[in-house]
Amino acid sequence: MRFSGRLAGLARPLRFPTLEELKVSKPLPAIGFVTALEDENHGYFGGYLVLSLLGRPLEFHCTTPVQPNQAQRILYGPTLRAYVLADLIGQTLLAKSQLPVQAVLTDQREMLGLTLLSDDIVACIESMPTVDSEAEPTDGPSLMLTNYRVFGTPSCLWHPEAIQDVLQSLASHVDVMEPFERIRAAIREAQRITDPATDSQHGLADAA
Amino acid sequence: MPLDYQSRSTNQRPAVHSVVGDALHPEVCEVRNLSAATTLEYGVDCVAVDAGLAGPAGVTVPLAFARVKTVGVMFPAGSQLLRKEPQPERVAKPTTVDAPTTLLTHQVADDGEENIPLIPITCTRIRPPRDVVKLEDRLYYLLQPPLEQIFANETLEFPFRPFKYQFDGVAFLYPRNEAVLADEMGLGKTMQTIVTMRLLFQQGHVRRAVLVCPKPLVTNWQREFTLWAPELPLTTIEGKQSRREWLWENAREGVLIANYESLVRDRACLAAIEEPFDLAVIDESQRIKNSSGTTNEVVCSIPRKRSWALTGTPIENSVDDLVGIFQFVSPGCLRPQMKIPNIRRSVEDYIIRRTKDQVLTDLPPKMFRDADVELTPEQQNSYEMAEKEGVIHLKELEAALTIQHVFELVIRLKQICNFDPRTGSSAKFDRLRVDLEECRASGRKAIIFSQWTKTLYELRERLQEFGPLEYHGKIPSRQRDGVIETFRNDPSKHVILMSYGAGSVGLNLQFAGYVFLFDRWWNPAVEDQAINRAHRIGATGPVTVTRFLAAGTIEERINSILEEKRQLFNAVFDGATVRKQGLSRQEIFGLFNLRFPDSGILEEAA
Repeated sequence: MRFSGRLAGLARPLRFPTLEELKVSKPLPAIGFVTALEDENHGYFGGYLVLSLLGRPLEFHCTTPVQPNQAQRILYGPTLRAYVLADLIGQTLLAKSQLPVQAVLTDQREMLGLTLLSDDIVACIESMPTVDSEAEPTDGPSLMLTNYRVFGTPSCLWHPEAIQDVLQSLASHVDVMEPFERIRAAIREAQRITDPATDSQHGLADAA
Repeated sequence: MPLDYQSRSTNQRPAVHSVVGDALHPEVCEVRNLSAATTLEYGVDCVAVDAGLAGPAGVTVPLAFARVKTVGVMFPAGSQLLRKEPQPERVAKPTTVDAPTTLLTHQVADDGEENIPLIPITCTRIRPPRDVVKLEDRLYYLLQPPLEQIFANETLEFPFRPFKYQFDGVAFLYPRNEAVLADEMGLGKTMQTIVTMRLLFQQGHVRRAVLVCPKPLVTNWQREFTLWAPELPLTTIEGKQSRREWLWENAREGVLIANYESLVRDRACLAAIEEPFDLAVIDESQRIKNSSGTTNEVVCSIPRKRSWALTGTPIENSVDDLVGIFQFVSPGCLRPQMKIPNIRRSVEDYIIRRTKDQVLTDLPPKMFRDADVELTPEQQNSYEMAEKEGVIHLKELEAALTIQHVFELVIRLKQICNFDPRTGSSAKFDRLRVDLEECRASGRKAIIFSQWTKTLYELRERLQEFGPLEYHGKIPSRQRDGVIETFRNDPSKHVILMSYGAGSVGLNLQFAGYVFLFDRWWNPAVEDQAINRAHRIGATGPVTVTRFLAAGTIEERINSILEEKRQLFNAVFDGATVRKQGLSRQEIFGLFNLRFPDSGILEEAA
């Protein structure tokens, strides 16, 4: 169980926090990036990268392949993908991470379901549409960052001002979409190393 | 579910009831118009029927996925950050559910001018080499930001933006403990090495490094370090023995610069070093091509964790040159007499080589002119006489004949091709003088190479009108930088006379537009080094290279062998095939149609 802000308000802690729970400490000057790849043979691979504000890697986790079976495909229907990405992959990866971050960015809208599963600020980042009319309206918080749009779902409770400084700082050093490329390369490498028999470098595709 | 069918229809006629609906919500209804029942003579009795349904069958469908397994790594910087950070309570999230929008476009500088966003044009990633096997280590390299972003980082200042291929070179060196940077001369091996070292120092992977280079290049390295890594502490190992010993023992951080000559003398100091260098770099690494030489032995004895070799000519004579270099870079990787395909396979992950043609498409062109001159009558007489006498002498030697005897004759003939020893007549000089007139008229500068200082002295006397400067082994080291500066800045100095030995490596003379090879060196790699003093990054105009060759002489015969050596180089680095591997004794004797006494043994001679 994660040590949330609400629990922090208890008069007396029930026990000492474990290392896992230390994640709830004050966010470090770091940003998390989470994304997933999809492979038609093996399923979904997720990756979570924590970067310093200079863009240097601090921590990385990736999943083994997650493969829904036929029954799950039927039962979850159109929500299967969002469930796999957010509930299974994203939540697991964030739970594994030890570094508390200022925000978690994703390049996949389905991953925004993490908002309901995590205490972290979760936002999706997309390239700015070239034509204004192409921009999909969002009811959640949003902000513009150089050539990108950062937004959350209506259920997101974060305020743009809470992350604008840190994102601006990161964007002065890093193209904020670039870390997702690193994650994809690392997932392919991890998959190749840990399971050479299923070297699916060519099969792995961006789930987006 | 069993149902009771003891009901009758309202008209007291037997009726048939049926169960409809699904198993969870059964409904009983009367079946009307069942003509078959009403027309039966015996009527129809309603009885209780056990439908045999013990209950709706349930199928268990697992809704949860198996636990998702992960692989993860915490990098040192992350651990450090985690340890430093106190753990106060988390700040509560804002509770508003508004959906405000904030515009964050470009950063605005204090002076009100909008900064240009740092979107790199190119993206050069660090790839882990093959010999890095731990997943954590491979991920560490893969997850580094593109080098362009590191360069854009304001915490690291660089004098100017490197070329894309230079980023590639840095990305190649950075993750490698064993590497050979074998770019063609003039592509910036020095800069790529220093930048990579700077990154490694900055990230704490290297605290102490040693760089070994030829003595004349020490000042060049010092200057380049100041330019590309001004914060790195530099220590030059020089001076008296006691001072050098003290420096070897006490310079515990930063970069130590040593030269090959002093390193050999300081071998005892190397043996006494307790903690290995994090990185050892050897420049002009062809210096250790001889595997059994003292320099090779001493360089290989440097205690070190990483070994990088820099050379524009990894193969000068034979593939065994590479074996010598790899004794330092990766001992055991290569063995003498390995076949070329095996060598290619063994070294391909360790070597990076780019040529100007591949990467500098906008470098001014390099134009070759082969000046095939006919000897003057005086030279021709001297030449024929010397050759005739020499060959007779060689044949008379019979069993006592050695390769030194042949070399003596070759040198004598080549010198006659430069200047007639009796009259001073020179067809090459006559041609050179005309070319230099053109050079001076265009306001450009020329470099003239010869392998003999005697020839350079002769040229100095005859070229006074062009203000010749000298740069060769007889010029003291402390004066050499001044010579180069004068050549660079003094408009009255149009010519610099250089020996291949002193002037072929490490110098930046890109302001010179003309290069003359007054005589030819024994192998093409050294000639290429010489030419590239002028034809390198920063060259402002085309470089014209004039290669003098006395027609119908020993020079022509040697030239054909040099061409074969070029083919050898291409065989290892470009995949072409080659028939011969170098200048063998057999071939040297063949210059005079002589037969080598022991024809079964081939030995590299030049």
